[in-house]
Amino acid sequence: MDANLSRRQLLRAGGALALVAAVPACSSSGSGAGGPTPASATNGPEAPSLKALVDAGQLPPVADRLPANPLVVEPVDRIGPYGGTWRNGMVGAQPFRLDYSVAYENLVRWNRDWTEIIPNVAESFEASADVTQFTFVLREGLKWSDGQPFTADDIVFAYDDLVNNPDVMPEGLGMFRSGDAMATLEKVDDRTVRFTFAAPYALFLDAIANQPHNVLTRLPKHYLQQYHLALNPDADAAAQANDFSGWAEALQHAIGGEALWADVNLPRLHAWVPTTPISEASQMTFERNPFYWKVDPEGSQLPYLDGIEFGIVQDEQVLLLNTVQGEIDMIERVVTTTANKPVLAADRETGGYDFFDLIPDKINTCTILLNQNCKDEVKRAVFQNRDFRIGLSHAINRQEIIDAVFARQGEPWQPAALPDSPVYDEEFGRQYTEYDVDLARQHLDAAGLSETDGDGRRLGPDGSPIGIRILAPSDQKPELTDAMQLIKTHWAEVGVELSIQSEASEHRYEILDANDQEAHVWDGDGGLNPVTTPQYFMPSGGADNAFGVLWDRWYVSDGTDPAGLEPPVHVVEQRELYDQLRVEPDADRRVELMRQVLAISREQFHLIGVSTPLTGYGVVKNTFHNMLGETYFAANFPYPGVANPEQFFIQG
Amino acid sequence: MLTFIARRCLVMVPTLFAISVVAFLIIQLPPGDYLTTMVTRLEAEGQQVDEAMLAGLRDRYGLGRPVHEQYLAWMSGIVHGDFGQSFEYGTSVSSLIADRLPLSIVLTVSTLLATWLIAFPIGLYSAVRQYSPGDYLATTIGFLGLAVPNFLIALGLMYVMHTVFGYSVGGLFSPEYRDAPWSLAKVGDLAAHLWIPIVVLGTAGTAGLIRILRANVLDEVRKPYVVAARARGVPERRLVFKYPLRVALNPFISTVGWVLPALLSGEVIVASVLNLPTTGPLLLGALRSQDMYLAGSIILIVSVLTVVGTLLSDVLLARLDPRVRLGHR
Repeated sequence: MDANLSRRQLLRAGGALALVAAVPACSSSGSGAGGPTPASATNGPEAPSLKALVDAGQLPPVADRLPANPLVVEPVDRIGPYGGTWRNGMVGAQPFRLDYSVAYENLVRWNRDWTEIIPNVAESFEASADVTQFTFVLREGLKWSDGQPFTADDIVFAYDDLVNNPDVMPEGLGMFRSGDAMATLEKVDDRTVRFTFAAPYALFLDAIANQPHNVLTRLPKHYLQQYHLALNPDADAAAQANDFSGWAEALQHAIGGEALWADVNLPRLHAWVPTTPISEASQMTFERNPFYWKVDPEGSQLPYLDGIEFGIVQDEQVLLLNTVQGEIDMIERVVTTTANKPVLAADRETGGYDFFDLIPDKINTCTILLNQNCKDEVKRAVFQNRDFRIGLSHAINRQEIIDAVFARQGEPWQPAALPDSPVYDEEFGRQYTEYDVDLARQHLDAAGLSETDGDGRRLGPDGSPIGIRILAPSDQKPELTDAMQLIKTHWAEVGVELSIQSEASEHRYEILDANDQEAHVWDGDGGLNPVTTPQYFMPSGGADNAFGVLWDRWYVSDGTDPAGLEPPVHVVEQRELYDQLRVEPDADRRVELMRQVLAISREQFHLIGVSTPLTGYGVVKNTFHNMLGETYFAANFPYPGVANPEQFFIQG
Repeated sequence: MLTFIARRCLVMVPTLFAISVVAFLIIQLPPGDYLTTMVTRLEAEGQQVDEAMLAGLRDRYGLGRPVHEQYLAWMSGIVHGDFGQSFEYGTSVSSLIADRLPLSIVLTVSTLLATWLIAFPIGLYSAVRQYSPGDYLATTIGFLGLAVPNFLIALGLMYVMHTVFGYSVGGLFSPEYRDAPWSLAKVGDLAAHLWIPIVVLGTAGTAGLIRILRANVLDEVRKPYVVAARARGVPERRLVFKYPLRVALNPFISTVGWVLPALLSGEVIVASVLNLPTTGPLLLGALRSQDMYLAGSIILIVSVLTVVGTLLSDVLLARLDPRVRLGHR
C-alpha cells in the first residue's frame, strides 16, 4: 500500500483539488460573458416557483421552511441555476430505481468518496466507546415535505411503535439486532435520540449509511398514526379505506418502503416528492419539496432541478432507444449493460450525451464456488481438498477467457479485494492464476485423483469419474455461461468433466436455498469494502455467496441445528474474528481484523476466480451537470443518491 | 330464448369456478414466488436481504400458507369485489386495472372498427370480382399482413420513423399531455398517436377478415338460391347484400364476443414494444415477476369475459340467423 497510492486516495486528493478550483470559479462567475455562466449571483435563496407561492401567501417564507442549521452541500462541479427536469426512465415498475435515485436521506450517510460516514438528517452523531450506544441529534426546525416538524417523536414512533412492535413487525429488523436482541430507544429531548444495544455493534452507523432508504427517517408520525390501532381506534377502517386488509398491513406497507412510491400523500424528507404514484402506466413525476433542508454554499435552497420525470416503458429496448435519442438526461442502470455500450457509444454525438465510470464493488468477473457442503459426500470430500481447487485454478487459461468473453479488459485474478480497497492483498489476487497444465495435473494427482479411465477422466475415491455440475444463471449475466463454456474445455484437458446447468433465477435460488448445487458461478461482491461485505470471504448464510451454508448453520446455532455441519477449525476462526470485528469500535482495528479474516481465505483458497471486474458506466447528457465523473457501484453505496442528486442541474 | 340464456348462465357457474382454480394453479406453477423475484432483483444489485424483513413479507402476503388456503383467501376477497393487492405496485389490483382499462378499450374498439371498415368492402369486392387485378392486390397485401408478425411491423415502423423522420413512436400521448386533464387538445394528441397501434394491430386482423369474407361469399354466390334470385331479376347489388353477405356474416358474429377478453389482454407484445399504457403489458409484467394476485385476477377476468363474450355471440347469432334459432329447437 505504501509504494502505490491507492485509487481512493487519489480520488480524495482529486476531490480536494476540485473544491479548491471551484472557489475562484464561483467568485468570478458574474463577469463570464463567454461560456455558460453559473447563475449563482442571481439564484437568491429559493426557486422562483416557490417564491411565487410565498408571494401569493400559499407557502411560508424560505427562512421559516429551512431548519436553523441547514446542511450545506458542496456542488460536485459548480453552483447551478434553478429549473429543469431530470428525465429518467424505468422498465415497468422498478421501485428500487427510485429508492436509489431519490430516497437516500438517512440519519447519516456516506461521503461521496465512500471513505467516511457524515451527518445527514442528523446534525451530529456519537457512538459510545464500547459501541453499544449511539446518539443522534436532529436539526432544529427540520420539516417534513408537508411542513410538519420532524422531531425525535417521529423516530420513536418509527422504532418503538412500528419496527420494534411485534404486532406490526413480528421479527423486527435484522439491522437493529445485536446480542440477539433488538435495540432499545430512548428519547433524550425533542431533538435527541439514543439507541442502546445489548451487545457492542460497531457497524450500526454503517448499516444506516448503507441503506438506500433507512426506516428511521421516512415514517412520519403525524401521518401514519391514522393507521396505528393504539393511536387511532378507527385504524382498521382508515386502512381499509385505502385498500389494505387491516391496520398492520398499512403500516407494514409503509415500513417496507412500498408506500413511498404508492402513496403520494406520504410526507417525506426527500428533495423531490412524487405527484403521481408508481402505478401510473406511462410515467411517474416528481416536483421539488418546498421544505427541503439542504442549501448550497451560497445559501440557496436545494434542489436546483424543479422535478424528475421517470418515464415508464414496457420494454428495455424502448428505453435504450430513448437514451440513444437523447431523451434521457441521466440514467444509471438497466440500459447501461456491457452489451449496450457499443450501441450507446455510436450515438454519443447525435444524442448529446457521454459516459461516466462506475467502479464496481465486485470481487471478480466470474467466481466459481465449489460447494464445500455438497450433499454428495464423495464430491464433498474432493471439493474440500485444497490441492483439487489449486489444480483446477491452474488449469484455467484466463487470458483466453479475458480475450474472448471480457473484451480484453481486466487481468487474471482470484476472488479477492481490489487495489482500491484498504485490505488489498496482491498475493491473494494473483495466487494460482498462472496457466500451467502440468502444474494443474500435479496438484490433481496430489489430491488423490491420479487414476484415470480409458477416456482420460480422473476417477474419484469411489472409482467413478469426477464430474462437476455447475449451476449458472440463464436469465442474467450471460458472460458467466460464456466463460464456463471455455473453462469446460480447460478442465476437460486435465481430466475433470464439467457440465453446466443453466437455470432461471427463481429456480436457481430454490436450488441454492436447498443446498442442492454441486457448484455455482456468480460474480460476487465485496472487492472494495470487505469489512461490510464479507460474505464471499468466509462461509456464511445467503444465496449467491453459498459455498458452506451448513457450516454457517452449525456456527450460528452453536452446533445445535441438526441440519448443520461442524466446520473445520479455520472456518470457526474466521467467523470468530469477524464477530470480534462487529464489536470493535476502532475503524482501523476493524480493517486489521478483516485482514486476518482474509489471510485465512487466502490460505484456504475456497473460491476460484477468472479476472478483475470490469468498470461499469452510466449515461449523462452534456447539458446535465454536477454528476460525478467516476463513482462506485456497490450494494452498500446507494448510487446515484450518494452523488447528491439535489445539486444536479441542467444548463446549455 | 330466455330459458336458453338462463341455462347457459347456470352452466357458467361451474365453468367459472373451474377457471378460477386453473388460473390460480397456473400462477402457482412456476418455481418460486414474488419474494424470490424480489430477492433476485436485490441480489442483482448486490444487496443482502434482511431475513427478518423477508419473513415478515412472506407472512403478510400469506405466501407460506398452503395453496388451498391462499386460494380461499383470494376467492373470498373477489366475492366481495376485492381482487387483492399487487405486490409489485403496492396498490390494489382493481385500481391498477381501472387506470389502464379506458385506454385499452379505446384501442381495442377503434382497432376493431378500423379493421371492419377496411375489411368488409375489400372482402366483398374481391369475392364479387374474383381474380380481378383488385382482388389480386388485396390478396397479396392480405397475405403479407397475415404472415408478418405484428410486433415485427411495430419494430419496423419504429425504426423507419426514427431514422427517416427522426420521430419517436411509442406511447399514446406526447409528454406534455401525459398528465394533463382531458381536453380537446389531448383527444387530438391521442388521435395523432393512436393510428400507429391501429395500423400495426389492424393489419393481421384486416387481412384475416378479408380472406374469410371472400371465401364465405364465394361459397354462397354459387348456391342455387342465388342463381334463382338472379333469374328472377333481382338487381345484382341488392342480391349480394341481401342474401350471400348476410349468410357470410355468421363467422363474424360468432367471434364478436372475443372482443371482450381482447379488451384486457389483447396484443401484449405489440403494446410492450410500442409502450402503450394498456392492460396487456401489465399482465406480462405481473406474470414475469410472479405478482400473484395481479396476474391471477387479470387471467380470471379475461376468462370470465371470454365466457360472457361467447354467450353474447351465441345470443346474437341466434337473433340474426333463423337457421341457428330453429335448429336449436
